[in-house]
Amino acid sequence: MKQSRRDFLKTSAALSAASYLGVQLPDTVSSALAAEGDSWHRGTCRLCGVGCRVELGVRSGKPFAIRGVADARTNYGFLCMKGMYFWHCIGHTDRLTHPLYRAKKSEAFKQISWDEALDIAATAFADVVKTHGSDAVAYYGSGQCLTEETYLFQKIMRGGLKTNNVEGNPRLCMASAVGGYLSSFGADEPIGGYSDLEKAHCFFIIGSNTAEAHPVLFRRIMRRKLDNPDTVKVINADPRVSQTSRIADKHLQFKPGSDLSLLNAMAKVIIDEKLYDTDFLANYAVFRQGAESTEVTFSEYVKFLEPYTPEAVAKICGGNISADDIREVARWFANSKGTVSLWCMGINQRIQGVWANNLINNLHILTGQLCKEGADSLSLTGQPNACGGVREAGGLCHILPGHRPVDNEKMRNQVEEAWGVPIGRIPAKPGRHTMDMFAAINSGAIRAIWVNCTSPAQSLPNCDLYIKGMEKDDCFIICTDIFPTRTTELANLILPAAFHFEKTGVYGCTERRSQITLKAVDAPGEAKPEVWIVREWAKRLAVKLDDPVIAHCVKDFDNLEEDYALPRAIWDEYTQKLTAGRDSDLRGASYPVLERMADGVQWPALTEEQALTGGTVKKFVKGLDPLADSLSQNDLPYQFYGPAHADRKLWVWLRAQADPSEVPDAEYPFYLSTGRIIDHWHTMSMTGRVPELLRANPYAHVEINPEDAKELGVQPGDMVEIRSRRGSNLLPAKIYEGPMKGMVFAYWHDQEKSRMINRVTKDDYDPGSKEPEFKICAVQIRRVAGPKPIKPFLL
Amino acid sequence: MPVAGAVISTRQERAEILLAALRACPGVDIYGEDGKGNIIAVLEAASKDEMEALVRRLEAMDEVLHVGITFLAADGNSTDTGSE
Repeated sequence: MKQSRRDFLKTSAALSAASYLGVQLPDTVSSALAAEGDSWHRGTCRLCGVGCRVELGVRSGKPFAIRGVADARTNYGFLCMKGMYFWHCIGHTDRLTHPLYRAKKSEAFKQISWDEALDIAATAFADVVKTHGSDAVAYYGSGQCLTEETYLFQKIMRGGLKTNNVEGNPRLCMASAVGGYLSSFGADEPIGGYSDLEKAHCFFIIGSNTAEAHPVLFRRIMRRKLDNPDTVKVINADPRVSQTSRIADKHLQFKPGSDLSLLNAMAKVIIDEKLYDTDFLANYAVFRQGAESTEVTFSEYVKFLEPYTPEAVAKICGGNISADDIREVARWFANSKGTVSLWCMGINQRIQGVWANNLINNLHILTGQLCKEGADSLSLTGQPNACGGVREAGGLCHILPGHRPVDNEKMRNQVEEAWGVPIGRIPAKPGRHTMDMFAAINSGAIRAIWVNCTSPAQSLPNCDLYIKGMEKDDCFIICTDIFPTRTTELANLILPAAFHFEKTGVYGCTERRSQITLKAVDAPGEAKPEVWIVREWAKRLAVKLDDPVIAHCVKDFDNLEEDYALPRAIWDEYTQKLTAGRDSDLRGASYPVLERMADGVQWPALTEEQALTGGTVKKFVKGLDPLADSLSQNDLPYQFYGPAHADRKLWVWLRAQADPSEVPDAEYPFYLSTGRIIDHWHTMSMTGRVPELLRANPYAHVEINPEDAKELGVQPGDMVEIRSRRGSNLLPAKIYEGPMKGMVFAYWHDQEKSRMINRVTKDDYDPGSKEPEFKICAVQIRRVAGPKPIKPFLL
Repeated sequence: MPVAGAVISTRQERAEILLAALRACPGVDIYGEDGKGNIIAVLEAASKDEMEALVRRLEAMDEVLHVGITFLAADGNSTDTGSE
């Protein structure tokens, strides 16, 4: 039987959808694929932090399709529209394909060779180090870099150039979750994972529009709810009614910044109605408060909660919340057989982000909704390798590889010994965190920075302030990227990078799962994998600074081909030497094991034998987590061995309500919050280049509550000015019962300058996590004109 | 000539109504359903624009809770593979 290519594609499409549902299609359909010769290459999605498994179809060296895989434990075959389209970036005509250079930022870029580019990059950094010292250079990376890339960059910066000025954009999104996990549970990253979603009986979704930001996970939650409409409860707490709210049994709409009160009120109901787990608390928890983490008694905690009565907090929260609502959701949370909390930027991007994380974790500790099936306190991540690369492999200024604090001498020495560099080579002082780093560019303290795979000129809050510094010629800026961005506009040197599936490496997603993607197609032009770029740059740096230690940092990687051998050697060094004995132990997850394990491996996985079972589904549980067994100190089933809590206890925190750093007043009477839309991802440099996604949402708009719109005289599509104390935007209005009255909401992906909402947001940050409070600021809203034709914009 | 595989979800009790509506939609082929409100469909369109419009139309249908794309091929020309 002859089969046309279109028939083949239709069959593939039907099988893909059927396999998701576990439905067997007729044999005539299934067998139609047998003669097809195209190759399919396993890997992960390039976009959000869910870590969906995909297969890229390749024919004659070119990608032609992507598909989900039914047995994938992350996504069960489903992909969102962004995930379905990201591969269009592989062959896109806008790709950066040659190194580009200009000495001054007023000049035009000229195409140069890689030899010239690497020499310029090394000279720029070496000259700054010689003239201004090691702390005048910096690396700013991304949760989209492969683990091997982040690891090697930070090794050169710390072990080679002797600076901890190593940061990444997860500081802008995940740092508060890191702080929350460390201070509540003693260890970063979730205890459980996605497998709890199908076993949960209550979902508490707060500060997350999961339906648009993590649509594949939302589908799992939705399926669980639809299949069990009477026994599974969904609570959605958010100042804005979103697509996520549509499956909620109860939507709690609270005034921005009143979340700490709401969470404390839920805790008070749990205490007052004796819904807490007495045994769990007695065995595993203590209560703490203050900067010194002073231990307090249960009675003192109860007294602390006294002001947070449901009646008082319902008034504080405003919106649609009643005292009975608070009581009801607290009961659902505590009484369910398993409760999973999910949150994202609405909680993390707050000046009290760590505290808000603590208060969610408190609810789980109080009720024992941890370590059992269907229960977890699960922070969602926005980028594919914020966890695996940046949090685990040393991509933040205060953390060395393997969750080691920089300011701990013993930990520094372990890293120095592993690298074979002199003891004392790594500075004791943590480097500059993200906001401090870009402030230091403004002040002239940082004179050279390497920006890898991210666009701070658009993604930093109050970005105009930091663009001013980046525009100046006294800071040399190198960008590695695949497309032009608002930040490459400010660069001296642009280095074209290989994209996903054009290189080999590992991503670690939200649930401690590391998955490998092997190179499947060639990068365009002269684009190169970052690991090759860093290695070659380091060799030249060593010569220019006459420093053999820098050369030593890449000696073991010299002459390895860059498509497989080089990233494998880097992964081996990182996992075998630097995760050994740590809670994120990945020694068992070698490249050969990751290539065998289609779903990757969840750490800890100390041996290949453990890794070949998939690793650890639940941390801290004896029988499931090898470290819980080997580090056990008593007969209890759970062992909280996390490195940050010497007492091996979970900490319930006393955290009082505190306002955001800016609240509406007579001059700036509205709250502004920002977020993601389903069709676009971050600064749109990738999704904006997919016509189907761009057309779906070609430009940003501002959502205004109908009551506010009426008072302001704003009609749908009218052009509206949003002005804060820092800057303004001009956006078309969408009148929508989404944001609560007194609040507007804008999307942050648009690259057009008058629609870049981070010109309006504020750069105050959490004193603990240093994560900025993107989510809340005060603005004026003014109708400027009626509807105007607007064109999408992309650099 | 894009081709997409999709699971179109509705509430279980509304599946028959949606199936009837989908069968009347040009560019939508039904391959099966799982009895829980999930329908296996293949979507065909003459261009990317039309595919995009088709997905949006499906998403806007009253009975549809979610259109989940599981496969998408941009090139669906009619050249024979030669396979017998």
